[in-house]
Amino acid sequence: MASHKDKDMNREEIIERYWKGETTLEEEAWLKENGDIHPLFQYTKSLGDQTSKLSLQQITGGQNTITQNVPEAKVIHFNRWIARIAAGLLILAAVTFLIKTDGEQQDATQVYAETYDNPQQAYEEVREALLLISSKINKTSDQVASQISKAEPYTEIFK
Amino acid sequence: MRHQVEMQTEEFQRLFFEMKDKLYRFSLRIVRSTDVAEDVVQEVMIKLWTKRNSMEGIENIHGWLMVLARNLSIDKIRSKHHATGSLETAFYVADSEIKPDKHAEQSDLMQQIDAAVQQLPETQRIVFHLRDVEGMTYKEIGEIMEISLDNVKVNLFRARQKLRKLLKQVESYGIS
Repeated sequence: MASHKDKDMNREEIIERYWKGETTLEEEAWLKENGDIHPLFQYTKSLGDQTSKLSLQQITGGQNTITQNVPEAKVIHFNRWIARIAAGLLILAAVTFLIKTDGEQQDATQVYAETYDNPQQAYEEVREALLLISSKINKTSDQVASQISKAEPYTEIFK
Repeated sequence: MRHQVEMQTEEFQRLFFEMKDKLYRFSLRIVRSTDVAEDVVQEVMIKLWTKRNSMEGIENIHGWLMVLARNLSIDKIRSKHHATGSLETAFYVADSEIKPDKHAEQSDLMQQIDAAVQQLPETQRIVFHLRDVEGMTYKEIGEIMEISLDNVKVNLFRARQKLRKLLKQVESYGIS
């Protein structure tokens, strides 16, 4: 009798907390499962039994089986070892290219640096080259002076 | 490729069967017409079906569907073409041993409680439904209704207090 009374007291206490909005979801579920406690819980439980008549066919139009016609994608398994070897070869090729380029640059420097061993001979060569350029410049200036002297008689016309 | 499409279709089917009744009941609380509520569920599901390949940005699909149903339902009741009327609800009384006269009495009682629920303001009615019918958490209700947790609690408290007061008037059951 005592336990029955305790249960009733507990039930009353839960209902009182329910009205105050202090019950947990578990307690509220328990109240709904025991619809005889209060007609309101019978009401909320009956609302939960309402169902829609909508069918999947109405939404998808039967397209839910369309995937059967989609071809299987080809899966390529990528081996990590292939990637590692390729990366190693790439690094090797890059290092080889850099070493070769550096060697060619050093050879060119040596070609230019070792044209003349004797400074006197180098001086003579430079001097001859400059004299050649100088003679060509003087020749051109003589031709220009000659042409100007020929044009002098006509300058009187424009005065 | 096929595997991914199948997963999406299966996911849609799972969501469809998981949510359609919940969406229907939720919409029914707002529009109060079984036909219009069915239309709302159909529109929500069609939207989900057409968007099924671009759902990445939606974290909570259940919440998104409920918000969609709420907005569509509100649009329906605000539409000029929809006339609001009494809820076409048949309350199911599970106990088969109940005599016909008692059955009718209980059904009548359910109608009276439903009338009391309908007297609640819209927000209180929806919060009450989501909590006491669907068993949702305050957080879930807040996300669907786009209100704070405190607002959810206040609305639920007021709804229950009003119902308690209204249901005291149902004399035949001596509700205390």
